[in-house]
Amino acid sequence: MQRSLQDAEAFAGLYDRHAAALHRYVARRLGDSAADDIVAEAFLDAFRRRHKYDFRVRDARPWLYGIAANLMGKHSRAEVRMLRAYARTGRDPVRAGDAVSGAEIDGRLSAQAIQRDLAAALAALAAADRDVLLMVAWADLSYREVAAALHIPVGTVRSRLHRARAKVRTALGGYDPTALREEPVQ
Amino acid sequence: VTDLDLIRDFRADVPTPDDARLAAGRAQLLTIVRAERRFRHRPRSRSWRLAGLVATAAAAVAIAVGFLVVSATRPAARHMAGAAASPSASSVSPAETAARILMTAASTVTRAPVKSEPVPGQWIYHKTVQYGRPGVVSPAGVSTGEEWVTFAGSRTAYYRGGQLIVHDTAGGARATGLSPMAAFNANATPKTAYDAIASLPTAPDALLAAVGHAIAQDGGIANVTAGSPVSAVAPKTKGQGEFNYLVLLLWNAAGGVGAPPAAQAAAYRAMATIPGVTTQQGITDAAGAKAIGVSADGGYDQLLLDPVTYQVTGLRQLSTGIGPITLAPGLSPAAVNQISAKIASFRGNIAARDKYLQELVAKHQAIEREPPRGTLDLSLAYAAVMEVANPGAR
Repeated sequence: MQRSLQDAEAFAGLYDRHAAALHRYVARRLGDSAADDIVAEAFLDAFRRRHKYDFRVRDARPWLYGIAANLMGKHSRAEVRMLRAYARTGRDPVRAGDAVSGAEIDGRLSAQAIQRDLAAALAALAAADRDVLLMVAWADLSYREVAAALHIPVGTVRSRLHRARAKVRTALGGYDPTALREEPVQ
Repeated sequence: VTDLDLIRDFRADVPTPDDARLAAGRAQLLTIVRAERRFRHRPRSRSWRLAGLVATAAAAVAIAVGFLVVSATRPAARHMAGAAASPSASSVSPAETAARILMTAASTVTRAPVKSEPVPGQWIYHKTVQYGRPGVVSPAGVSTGEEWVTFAGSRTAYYRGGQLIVHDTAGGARATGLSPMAAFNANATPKTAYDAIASLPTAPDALLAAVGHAIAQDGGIANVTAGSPVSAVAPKTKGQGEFNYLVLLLWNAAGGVGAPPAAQAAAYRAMATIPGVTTQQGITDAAGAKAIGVSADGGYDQLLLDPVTYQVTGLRQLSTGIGPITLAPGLSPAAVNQISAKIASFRGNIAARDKYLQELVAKHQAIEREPPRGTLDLSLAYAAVMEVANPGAR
């Protein structure tokens, strides 16, 4: 019988299984050095609360992403600041090494225009709406998992996601995804 | 390309960190874990949900045909037909019946013999039986587990490969200077659960207020039970939160010698006053014993009571039947586009959209991950709990 999370090796297993993906998720939002701190803190927090969570029942991801979301909440302004800087300058502070000039390649230029519009759109979202949107889009959590992670009803997940996507679509020039599907880019 | 696809691509070149980058966090974590091993008296981890597998399959679909996830609320009628396990079936009592059953439970447990509180080092033997629906719990099906714990949780023991292994845990003596509720919040053991329940006022209003206070002290109800076997999802109401917390206390106490009878009765009486509490009679727990299910969320998360003694015997969770639907792999891009356009055409007409989604499922063009509402997801029961002289004794 596998031991509970009082065992160091069991908790190490949790870290080995989820830390890399969680780190990347946080890094995409706040950059990798903030991700180092937040992921480490999230697992410590998870360890402190482990007796409240039963690990055989559910996937641990909603629980871990919920803890991380809580910790990231304190960095919400930094996140918005970096998104705005990206929108304004075309240089993404989150990817410090990525300083490709928009003029280098034509294709890259137009792609960059969308990226910058998107950065502005994400910056303009309410923090709670952005959390839901990015958990669905980047962490591949289901509505129900997002609900469990953020401690909100599933209906609220739906309405926040709907609102966030509508704002993003408007900001991208009213692209209608249904219309776009008629010319699928495969 | 949908707006979600664009967002998925945004900063997609941010790399997954390598092991070296993660090593510092891992080392820090293990240092704390080893220094602060505390006893966690909850059903033991034996498995993980195969979510990685699901995610991978979904990614494969995304590559093959584009990705579409639609959340559907299914037509209720579909589930009512032959849904013996449905929490909405007629066997679920209305609130008045639930209140009456809980009041009976309260007066019955009051007559149970008063056991003195065990000494902290008293060994207790547990045998648990679990049923898990495939895809939710692995290994799926029925499994049993045995272990020994001390009442204060400072030691645990179990057999591995025929050999008895006894663990010391640093938990038992840590909670000095804390109130009983705070001590339970910090470290859930049979003893802290026993002491916490015993410390609660007996009047229902005052009891629920004290529980609400403990919940607030612990960072809100979602920290307390979301994702645990007590509740699959976060509570939607204050009453559900209080109910879940009481279930957590009762379940942990049941892993020791139960709660003091008068305090357990007070907990049942307080539960009876929580709006929306329902009961389901004529069910069985994972160990095969008859049980009554008590729930504050319409029957999806249930505390199981013995129908004669009204002692706590188990927990179970039923599927809500609500979840995402994913397009089946292998559809042509043209088919995906056609389906997407059709779904979008329903606009605000959710009922018609959901009917269409069900047709997709019936035609195997879409896959639903959630089974019908009322399907048993998880059931957990104590098959045996007894005080024993030493670890390894049954």
